[in-house]
Amino acid sequence: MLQYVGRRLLQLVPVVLGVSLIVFLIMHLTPGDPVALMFGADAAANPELMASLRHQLGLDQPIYVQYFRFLANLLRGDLGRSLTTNDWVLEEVTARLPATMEIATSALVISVTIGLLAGVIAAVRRNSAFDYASTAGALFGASVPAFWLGLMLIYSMAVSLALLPVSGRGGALLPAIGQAFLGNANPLRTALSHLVLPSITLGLPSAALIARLTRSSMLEVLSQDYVRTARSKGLSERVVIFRHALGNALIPVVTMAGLQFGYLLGGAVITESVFAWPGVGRLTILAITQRDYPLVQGNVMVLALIFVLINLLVDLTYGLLDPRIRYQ
Amino acid sequence: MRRRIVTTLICSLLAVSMVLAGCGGTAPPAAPAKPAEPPKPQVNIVMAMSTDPKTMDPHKSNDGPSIINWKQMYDTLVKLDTENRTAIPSLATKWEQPDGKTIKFTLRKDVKFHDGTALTAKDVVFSISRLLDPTTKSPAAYLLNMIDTIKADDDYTVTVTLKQPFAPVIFHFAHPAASIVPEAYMKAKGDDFIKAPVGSGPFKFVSYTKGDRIEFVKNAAYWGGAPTPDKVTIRIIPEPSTQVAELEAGGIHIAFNIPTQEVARLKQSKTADVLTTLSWSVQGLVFNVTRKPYNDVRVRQALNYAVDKESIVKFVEAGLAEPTGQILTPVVFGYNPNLKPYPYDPAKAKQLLKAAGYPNGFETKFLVWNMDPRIKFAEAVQAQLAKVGVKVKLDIIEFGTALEMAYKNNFDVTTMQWGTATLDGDYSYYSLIHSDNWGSAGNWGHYKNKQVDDLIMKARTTPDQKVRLESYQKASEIVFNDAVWLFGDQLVQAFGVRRDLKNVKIPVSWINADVTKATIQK
Repeated sequence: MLQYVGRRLLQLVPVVLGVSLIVFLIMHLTPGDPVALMFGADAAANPELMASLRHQLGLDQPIYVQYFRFLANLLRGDLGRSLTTNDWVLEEVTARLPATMEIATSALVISVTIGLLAGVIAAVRRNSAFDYASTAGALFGASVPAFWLGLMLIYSMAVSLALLPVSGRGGALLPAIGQAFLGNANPLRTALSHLVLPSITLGLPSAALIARLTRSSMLEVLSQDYVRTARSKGLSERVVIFRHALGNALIPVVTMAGLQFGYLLGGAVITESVFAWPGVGRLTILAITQRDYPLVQGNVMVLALIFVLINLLVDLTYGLLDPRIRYQ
Repeated sequence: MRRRIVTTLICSLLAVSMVLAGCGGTAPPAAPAKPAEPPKPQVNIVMAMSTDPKTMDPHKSNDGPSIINWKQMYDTLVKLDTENRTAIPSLATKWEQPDGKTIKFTLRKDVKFHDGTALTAKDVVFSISRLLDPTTKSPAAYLLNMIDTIKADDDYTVTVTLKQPFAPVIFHFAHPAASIVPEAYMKAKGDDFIKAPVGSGPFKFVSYTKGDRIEFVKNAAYWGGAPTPDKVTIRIIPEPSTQVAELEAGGIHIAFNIPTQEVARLKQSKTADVLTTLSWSVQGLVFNVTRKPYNDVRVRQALNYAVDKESIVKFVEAGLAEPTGQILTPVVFGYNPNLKPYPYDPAKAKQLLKAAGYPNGFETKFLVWNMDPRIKFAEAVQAQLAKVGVKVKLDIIEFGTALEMAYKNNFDVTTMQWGTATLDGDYSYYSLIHSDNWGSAGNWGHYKNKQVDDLIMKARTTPDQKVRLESYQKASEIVFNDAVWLFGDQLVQAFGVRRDLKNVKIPVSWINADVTKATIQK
């Protein structure tokens, strides 16, 4: 198994190289000059200053020189400095990453909980009213735009009922959990209250996908011989479903959840905007509009890395779910 | 095995979280939850804007979101009195201009920076020199690049000499990019200055969490009198609809970005209201006069006659604008109150087009910035021009790319939104209209008129305000008759404000609100 993990980690190298090349090319081939954008309306007054800045930032070099310079720095773990703020890219990304991880993780928890429950019940009570309702709900969940859902939640839960805060992040979650254990639950309460609405907004479409997949996967497993055997042994329905069927039905669901987590990390942009959540997604969009090449590259590299690592984790959980699966 | 893994995971997560909690130094600001034991309710004025500031260093940028932060913590030598279109004392109590090239500032003697040191002439010389130093790379350095020398005569007198006479120079000292910073502190901190910036303004910097908020506390020792709020928080809320929701829920007191379609509803609201002021900004379309058919003044005039600006203001701008026929607004020195916008006259437009050789109109392209208000304006103009046979295709292009196309003369007609940030006509006439500034320098349409050039230069160099005013007004008439732009409207700023927030002033300026005297009514 260690060998397997090692090999998978080695495979990271070509993936990261590929991602770096694609991001670099896309950003640099998009028209728009970062220096001109930095100056905005003042560009008019500063042609020489802009040229000197372009030179200082290496933007006047041929594109392949810029790429290799970027790669060389990357190998040293240096993602460069933001063109617009001059802060270290790595610092900017890691400062924002916890916020994005919080919202993506809690969205995943919500989507897996709702998705699994709805999927299993719908499969077990096939063609019941619940099945139809959950299928309809899943269709709604998968098609509703995050933007609209977010604003509806804000207006109903935060403005009209005043149950939850409208937007913003209520402090970092992990330290707040620690504080709660040390006896002060207020930071945790604040952090969680700010997390609820964005997590639901982000998690609902994934919940819908997971519900549909769980349902079909469960239906397939439930029709297999060993389930019939288990039932005929006189096992209770609960044991049959949760111990015998669900474990096997989970494999495609876990794969999906892993992929969804990647999507939740990178796709949280709209949710982050609607809820003024200070995450990586918003940082990336802003960086793109400002043609802040190092910042965009850094964000995408970090997200890609996390995505690949999570997929590795997902592959490793297969062994936990199904003891027959071995890693070579 | 499975259970052990899960237990280990949970335990390690807990351990990490407790360690993080232990190093509480980095704990971000608590959100508006119940404080543990409120000793005395603090007044915290919360404002929301949509973008992060680029920097807390006033000499390194010139973007609106940064400027609102600078205005809280720094001062300039003079301030703008937007009602009377003049400069008024701030750090400088008075200034004399013995000749066209010299200005002598006398400073207040009771000003202390937030670190307790006194503000003296040395700091003024340092700050202005730093702004102008090419290695600082300030995009706003051009505002004062007419300065030849700046020196301290004594602790409280500064003499500035100019390379050549520049009449509106005093207005340029009011620009936030000319903020005064403490020399000793800045030199000691170096690049770390922006992490703990120090100024002499009404509020002191506390913290900045990127993408989230900037916090200030009041400067009780402020030379202009201690501000009434204990704290000021500027939150970054990118989505205008969320800003409105926060305003209604009471999470913020001022929202700077109100979608036009929300204005009418907010005005009816019990908790929030909309405050408006006429801004220094105009919007319109710039004709590229080097290209056919826009090299023909009759075509440019025809397009001006063909657009019903009243209806655009009413239906597109939700009434938050007024039709105009010039590039300055009434709050700017040089505005011509007698110049009325082109009336809506499609018959006259058709007649002019026919005379220019386009009896059936023509096809053309507009370069449009991909910003919602600009797109809506361009679409409205497009619909109106169709009625006189001019078929417009809109190229809606991301702002950075669009700017580059405009700089490279790669457009027929382009959207334009422009504010006269110094409140003096020179800022706009010289950049946008004078032939020195063809192309990327600001006069994108390559307009040239010798008489207008001369008038602009005359107003630039003579100290006589009456002559200057007449020069701009005369120039505005020629620019109007030459139909250099498709003149659109002058814009009104609309900010959402909680009804319980009192004594707030919305100055004509960048996105900003003066909350130094603000109170919250119980």
